[in-house]
Amino acid sequence: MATDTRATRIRQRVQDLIGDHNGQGVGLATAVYRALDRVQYRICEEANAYETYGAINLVAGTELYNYPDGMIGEIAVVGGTHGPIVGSVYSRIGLVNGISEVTVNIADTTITFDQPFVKTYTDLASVSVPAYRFTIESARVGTSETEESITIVSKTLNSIVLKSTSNSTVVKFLAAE
Amino acid sequence: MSAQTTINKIELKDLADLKRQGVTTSDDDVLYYYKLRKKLGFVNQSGGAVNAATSVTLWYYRAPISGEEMSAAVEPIIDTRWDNCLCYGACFDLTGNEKWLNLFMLELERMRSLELAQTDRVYTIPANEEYN
Repeated sequence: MATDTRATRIRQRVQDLIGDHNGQGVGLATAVYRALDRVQYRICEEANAYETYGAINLVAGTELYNYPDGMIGEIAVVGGTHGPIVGSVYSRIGLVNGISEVTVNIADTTITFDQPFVKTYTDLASVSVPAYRFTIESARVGTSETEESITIVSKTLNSIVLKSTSNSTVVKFLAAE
Repeated sequence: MSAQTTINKIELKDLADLKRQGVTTSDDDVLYYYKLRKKLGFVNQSGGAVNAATSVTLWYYRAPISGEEMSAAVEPIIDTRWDNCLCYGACFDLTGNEKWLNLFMLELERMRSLELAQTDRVYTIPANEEYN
């Protein structure tokens, strides 16, 4: 039996919580894993906890294609080649600082990311991050750091609307998990 | 049909109309998709099946599938931030004690709120077999 995996740690924690530390009663290991399976499935269904993506290669003359195994909800279908929008992909590279700087004028400014809803940053080695994952890390006017001059009015999958109180505010974004 | 084909979602009720359009001479390069009985359907703007090979990317929520059921050797597929939720839920499943159910529901709601706060799911549609 594998030891010290995440699964075994969770199983042991469940056994501890219910007071069956050695798994000799209701906390039998196989029973705990079955329970965890049921709960995990419920979490996926109720909270959309797991996202993934896959390519569908369409075939000439064919109209209908089976869903991928395990699919419980569709997020989007996009054409062409696009980067991932799921957190698990870019969470592996951790938080990324300073991936983009945008100059914003005084009026509401919409920063539109590449269609359909991701922008690829060259310094991320082709890792793409959707607009809604961005927050403002810092803003400055000239060389002076400023917090008051810039706010995010709204975000969608492919754009961020910014409002600035000063011309030529330079915004640095942070891609957050 | 190019690799950068525009993808538009259509309702099933619109599909019939689309299929009645017949051949078009438009240069627009648009592909439509719909859901029907656990399948994704793709038609071109003329209502016909796709007429050339292209690739689309499907983003979707999924649950564990056969072979991904947790065991000592198979890790959870959901992120570690769901571990508390997993544990509380399993405790309730095993004991039936509502104390764990309450903790599970609270944790589920807390995590769901966090997830929703971090993402804008404007493209989310129900996982029904067909569109409502």
